[in-house]
Amino acid sequence: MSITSRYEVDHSSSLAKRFAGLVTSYMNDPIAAREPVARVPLENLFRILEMYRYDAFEDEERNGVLALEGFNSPIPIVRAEQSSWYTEVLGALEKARQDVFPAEAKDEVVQRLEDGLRQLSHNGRIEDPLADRVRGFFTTFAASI
Amino acid sequence: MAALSRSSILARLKLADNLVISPILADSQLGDSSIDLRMGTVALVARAGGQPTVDPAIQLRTNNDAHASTERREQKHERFDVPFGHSFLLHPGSLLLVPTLEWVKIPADLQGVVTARSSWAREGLNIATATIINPGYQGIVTLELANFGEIPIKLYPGLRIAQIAFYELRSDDPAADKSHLDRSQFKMSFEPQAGKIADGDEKFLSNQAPP
Amino acid sequence: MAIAQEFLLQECENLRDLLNKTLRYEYGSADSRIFYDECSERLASLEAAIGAAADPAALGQEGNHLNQLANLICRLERSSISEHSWPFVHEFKRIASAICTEDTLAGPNTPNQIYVLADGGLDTYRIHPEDRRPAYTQKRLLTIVFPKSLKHFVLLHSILGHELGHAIWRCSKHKRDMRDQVEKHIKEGVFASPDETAAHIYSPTAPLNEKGFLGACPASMKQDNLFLNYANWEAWFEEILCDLVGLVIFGPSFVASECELLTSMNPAMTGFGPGHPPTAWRLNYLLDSAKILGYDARPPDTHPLRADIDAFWAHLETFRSTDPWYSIFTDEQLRRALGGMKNLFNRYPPTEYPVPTFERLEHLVPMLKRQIPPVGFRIANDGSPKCENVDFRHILFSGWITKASQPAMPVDIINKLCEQAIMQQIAINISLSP
Repeated sequence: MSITSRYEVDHSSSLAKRFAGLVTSYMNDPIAAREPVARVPLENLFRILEMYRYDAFEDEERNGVLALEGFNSPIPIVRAEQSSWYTEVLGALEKARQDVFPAEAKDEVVQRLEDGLRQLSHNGRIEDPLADRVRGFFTTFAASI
Repeated sequence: MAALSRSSILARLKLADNLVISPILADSQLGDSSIDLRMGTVALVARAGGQPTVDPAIQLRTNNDAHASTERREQKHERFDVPFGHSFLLHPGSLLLVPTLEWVKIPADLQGVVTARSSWAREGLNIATATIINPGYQGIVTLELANFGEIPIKLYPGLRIAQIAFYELRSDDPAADKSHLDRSQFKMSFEPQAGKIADGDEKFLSNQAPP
Repeated sequence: MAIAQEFLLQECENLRDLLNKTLRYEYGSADSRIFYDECSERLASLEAAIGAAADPAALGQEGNHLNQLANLICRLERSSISEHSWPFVHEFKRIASAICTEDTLAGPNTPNQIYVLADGGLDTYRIHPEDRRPAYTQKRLLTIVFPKSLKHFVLLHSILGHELGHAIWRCSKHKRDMRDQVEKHIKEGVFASPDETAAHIYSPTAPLNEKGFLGACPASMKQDNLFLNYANWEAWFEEILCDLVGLVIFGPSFVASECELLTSMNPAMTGFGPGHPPTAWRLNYLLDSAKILGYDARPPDTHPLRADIDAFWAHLETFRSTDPWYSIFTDEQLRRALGGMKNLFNRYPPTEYPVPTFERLEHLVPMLKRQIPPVGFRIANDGSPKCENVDFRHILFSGWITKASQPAMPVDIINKLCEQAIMQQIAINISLSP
């Protein structure tokens, strides 16, 4: 038996906020942007954008096809809360899109942001005029969480 | 006892329920009186720490002890899966058991004999013994590879490393020979196995004085 | 906080050491580089975050992530023992790499990194796609788990088609297509909503044994709280979706493996679970779907394999539950859902199951009956050896046909011959490649 236990609290929003904050610092430091360690936050942001593009935020693990399950106790309420890990993230994405890319289609916006992240990861910089909008988007996104 | 020529081998291969060597990946595997065999995708290497000595008397003593005999069997060899594109290093003086890629079925009236290919023998790679494949055999053929050279040899699954020739058998009692074969209908070999060196020779392994 | 931070930084060093030690194993069929590089990057990223943590809450989060990474690294060690069928995995990975792709920093259609390990009992067939929510991850790892005891039972491994469904459902870019073209057709009729489904479960027309199952469930579980407190309706939907995915990827072999494995775990075929719909529903809609897709086509009466193929399907039909309560989808629903799935999979060859010709089966099944691994090889009339490509799923189907029509042939022999065949066929495909 484990020496301790705690209710699992999801930290996706705070991690997303931290990663978004790193975008600005990488834009000011091209060498750091191209380091392997920079790929972790940038890839995570890319992944969030993909989920946003396709409305694909659901992420719970499922049991295997042959898993034996019982009805010993009701499903914990916390499962419902975990399924809304993305509510804050989604709200922040929407706010950032409305502020920085008003009246532009979501798919288009996501594509441009992803292009920007790729440029940052591969080249250490984002070409103008996309650079300002990427900076603006992720700054607003981080501030909205 | 006549060895089969290429045309005789092919004639047998074309017959259903006769000689089987499957698959043959290239025409060039078919020689004048033999077929080249390729290395399969498993390697068994004797573990240096697996047993103190090859002693048939110890094997005999522990045969009825499930734990000891199983432990001896499982620890004797290190087994490696070697998928295509990967390689295995055979060091000088080492012995390696590998299966052939090909599935072999020998009909009741033939015997197969496996030898090393001369091109590999010149590099130091040898089939440790000329392997006889009995009539009725079905499965992969176990090749005991030994490196007699001075430097390690890198072996890749799919390489042609051995060859099999076929000899017709003479039978004075075909019915008796056939009934002996039919006893092992679903017995087939999928992987190299360690040999059973003690079986049948128990009387010579006793400490007691002979009568 | 300083003590905790120091401890966690030391733990990072410990994990680095642990990761390095995993390379002392021979990996054989596994590729240690993918895993090592990914774990190294995750560790470096976490270590930097722990060092920079500004408050105890942030440090706590990092500690959790470090724990998860430790579990992942230890999983690597278990995978090095290679107690799985590498020929099957080799072929399965070709499908998984084709369909489980994402757009990433590296470019479009980046395949997930696939890792394989073997574990415990029958119910360990599983694919773990890593979460997509923010974490200290770069590449997403897809872990495929096989039951260790079933290492050589390749016919049963067809069930992994279902597990691939879970991974596909969790690829962001497939979600939209699956929703638009598949989900909406499944969520109709009995499965239109949790209320409709619960009403069907508790229907007075439900068969007696199903009512008996309900009677044995917790007394507090009722129709109006079934999907609030006791079962997850969306999970049931996902299981149904994955069953259909398994069928479209693995064909008749999937139906056979699902029938055999589900009924082995639930011989009475009664009831359901919190995360899985009734077993009998699943087998019924799979059998119906196989018919709709034309997988149960028969050769002419005089064909040498007619009796064998009849025996295979007749055996599967014994798993059908005849009470209408068990048939929850109309043929039209299934036709539209399966059509949508095929539209998606067509864009990612070789995902969709290629229906074999009877000529192909006529070559493979007799080989198996003669206890020869069934591969694309024959000696032509002119005496030359002829090799051809054969999809490994046809080898599996020939195995299931033989199993149904040759009851005297031991099941483990059929499985081993098919596994041998898959390996040999890889060699044939290599020899035929340009």
